[in-house]
Amino acid sequence: MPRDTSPQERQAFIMDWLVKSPRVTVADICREFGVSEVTARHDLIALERSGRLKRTRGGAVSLSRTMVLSYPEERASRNVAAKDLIGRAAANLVHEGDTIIVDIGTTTLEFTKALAGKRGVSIITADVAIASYASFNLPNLGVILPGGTLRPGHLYLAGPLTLDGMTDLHADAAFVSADAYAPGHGFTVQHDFSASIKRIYLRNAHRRIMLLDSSKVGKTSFFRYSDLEDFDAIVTDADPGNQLARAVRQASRQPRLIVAGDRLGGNVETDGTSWA
Amino acid sequence: MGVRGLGAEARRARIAERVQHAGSVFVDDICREFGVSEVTARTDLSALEQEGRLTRIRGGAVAPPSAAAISYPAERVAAHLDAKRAIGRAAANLVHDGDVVFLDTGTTTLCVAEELDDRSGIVLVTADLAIASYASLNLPHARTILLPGRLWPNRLYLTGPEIRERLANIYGDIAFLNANLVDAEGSCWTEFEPDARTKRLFMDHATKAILLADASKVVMRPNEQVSRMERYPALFARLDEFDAHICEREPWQEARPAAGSRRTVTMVAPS
Repeated sequence: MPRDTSPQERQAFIMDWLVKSPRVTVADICREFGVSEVTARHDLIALERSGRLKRTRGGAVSLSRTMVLSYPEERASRNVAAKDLIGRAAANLVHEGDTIIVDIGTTTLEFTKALAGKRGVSIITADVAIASYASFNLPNLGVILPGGTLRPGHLYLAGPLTLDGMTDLHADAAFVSADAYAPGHGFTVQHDFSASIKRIYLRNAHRRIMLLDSSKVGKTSFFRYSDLEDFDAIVTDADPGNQLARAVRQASRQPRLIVAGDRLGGNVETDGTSWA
Repeated sequence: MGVRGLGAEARRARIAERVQHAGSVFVDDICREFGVSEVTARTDLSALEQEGRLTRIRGGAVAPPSAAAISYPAERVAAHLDAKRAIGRAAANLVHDGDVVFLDTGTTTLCVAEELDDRSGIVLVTADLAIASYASLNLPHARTILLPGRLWPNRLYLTGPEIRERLANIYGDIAFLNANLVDAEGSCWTEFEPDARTKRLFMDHATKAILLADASKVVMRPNEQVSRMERYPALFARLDEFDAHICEREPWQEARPAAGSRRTVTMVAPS
């Protein structure tokens, strides 16, 4: 339907179109906005001049080269609500000015997002996706990487060089993840290199916090790297059947158990425990 | 960015553009540059967030999150893309199986990485997250090492003193470096001093150093030089310190700079 549209409006539409589909034609633009072919071509010329697309016969194609790298998509989208709850609750445990270690994973990515607005905080992470997210979206956050080999096919650092890089990096708090937890078996991970680096995280941090979504409880993976006694707090989204609560009560040194889904709006009320 | 007296739509379009190019915008800036109240600025940001064009943070806004994509802004990738691709192909031809390759940060060296899929046993060393991510996911036969350091806001490369320590024990067969500017005397310049330091370390620790700079980076006329040098004040090398300079066409229209005449081969990448 013909209406007065500005070039900017049409150009924004064209760029959106190219996000969803590999090409846009002059005819598409004319049809959408009721403008003449000359006008549509001028829009494409302007966008090509500013390096945002490449004109072809009859239209244009996207220039965004495929660097959209798939962070394992199924992992990222499973349990997002739970991970978001955990992330927000855990963010309350970060003080202004803290340097914190942020472990790899999708739960820790949600935790990192929840750090927006914290002042003076720096993160040390081996997760390249978390690091680049923070660089572009959380300008107040300092970001440090220990370096090392990227695990092929993945977006995180693992191996001896990374362990070396972590040796001299100390933090006020470490926020770590696990693949599974079961009473009696502790916190376990699939890979030995994961176990090694997580042990260093715990050793190099003053406060130790485990972020674990409830779907991992009651399961056991291959390599054990810690147990409840090693932590100051465990943050989870739910504790069906009080499995975790019972295990915590029986632990020789009891971490604080924070079940994010239990509180109103996911806010954690302090229970007076001092977090020096 | 700012012009006073703009209607809301035009003002919001400029704000969105700024977020896209600079990565962030602050309420204070909007008030000052457009002459609007804080309430108006916040309403603008709120409206743009509804459209998915930015994400609000305390005091301002940043580009909308794309957790899956680790890449440079599309405009930067697209600039002189044909030239960069040709240079990338020519550069990749210099890499042998089993080589240790240092890749500088930037979009031209990313083009080199994209051409290395059929080399086996290579080790890529870089401080650039886009290159490291690309290699990890697309070059199954390569081992990719990311250097340690600090990542600054809106940057995809690491810098810091740890890089010197890490590189102290690594030797590269070949280093590919980008330059933002090569001036008429053959001096090579980049934007930030920490980046210049990393470039120097790459050159010092590799057997061969290759400069990748498309013709748009090469400056011939003095007046053009002054304005560009303000943007790229960090000197990192002279042309004659490189074994070769790969360009998509012969960049020196008149006399080649004296600094480059003796040693450096200028390779013109076939298109």
